[in-house]
Amino acid sequence: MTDEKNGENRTRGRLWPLFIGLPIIAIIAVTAVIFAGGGNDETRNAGQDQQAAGGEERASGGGDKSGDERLGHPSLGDADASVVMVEYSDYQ
Amino acid sequence: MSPKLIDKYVESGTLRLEWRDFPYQGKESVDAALAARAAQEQGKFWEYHDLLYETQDQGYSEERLVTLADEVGLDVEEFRASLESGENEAVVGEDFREGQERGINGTPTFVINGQTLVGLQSLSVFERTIERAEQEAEGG
Repeated sequence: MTDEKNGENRTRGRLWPLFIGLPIIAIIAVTAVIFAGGGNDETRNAGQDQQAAGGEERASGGGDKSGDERLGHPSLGDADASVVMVEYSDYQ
Repeated sequence: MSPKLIDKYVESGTLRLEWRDFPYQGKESVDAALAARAAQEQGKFWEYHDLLYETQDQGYSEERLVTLADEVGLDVEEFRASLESGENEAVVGEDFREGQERGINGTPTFVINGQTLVGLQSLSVFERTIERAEQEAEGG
């Protein structure tokens, strides 16, 4: 009987690091997953920002949108050209 | 505008061309102008503009305008939504009012550094006018 109790105590003595270590490992693993997920969100957001910027660039590249989102005058040529030709026309 | 003028003056950086809508010939005229502005929203104003002129003998019904949008590779649903919203009516209207204030009463009318040319012109008239305007701008 005494031997059995001594054996149990020895087993408990050998397992106690597991009781402490497993929760620590679990916490580290959960933390790593959370941070990894946050990184993906950041990457996705950055990608969305790039797409938005690309859209704006395309829109403004031809004088398409002004700052207040109204369409500007369609144009061809250098903004600093010494000669500017304004054409008033319709499509009929 | 003549491709020769674009090659000679726009590509060299001498000339900048700016478009103003002056749709004074009725509903189809206005519809075509609004359609071109819807194409501009998708970055394809000039492609659509050129196609409108190339096919002007076929008229500018709504169906035709949508077909042309598809031909130049526009997002047709986005194009339709723009037309239905009427969001560019103010822009086209402002161009028209500006033209009226300048005394424009026919198309095409060209204003080159302040000098007005009314109606279609020969290549040589454009060349002379542009080159004179360039000399004056450079103080010559």
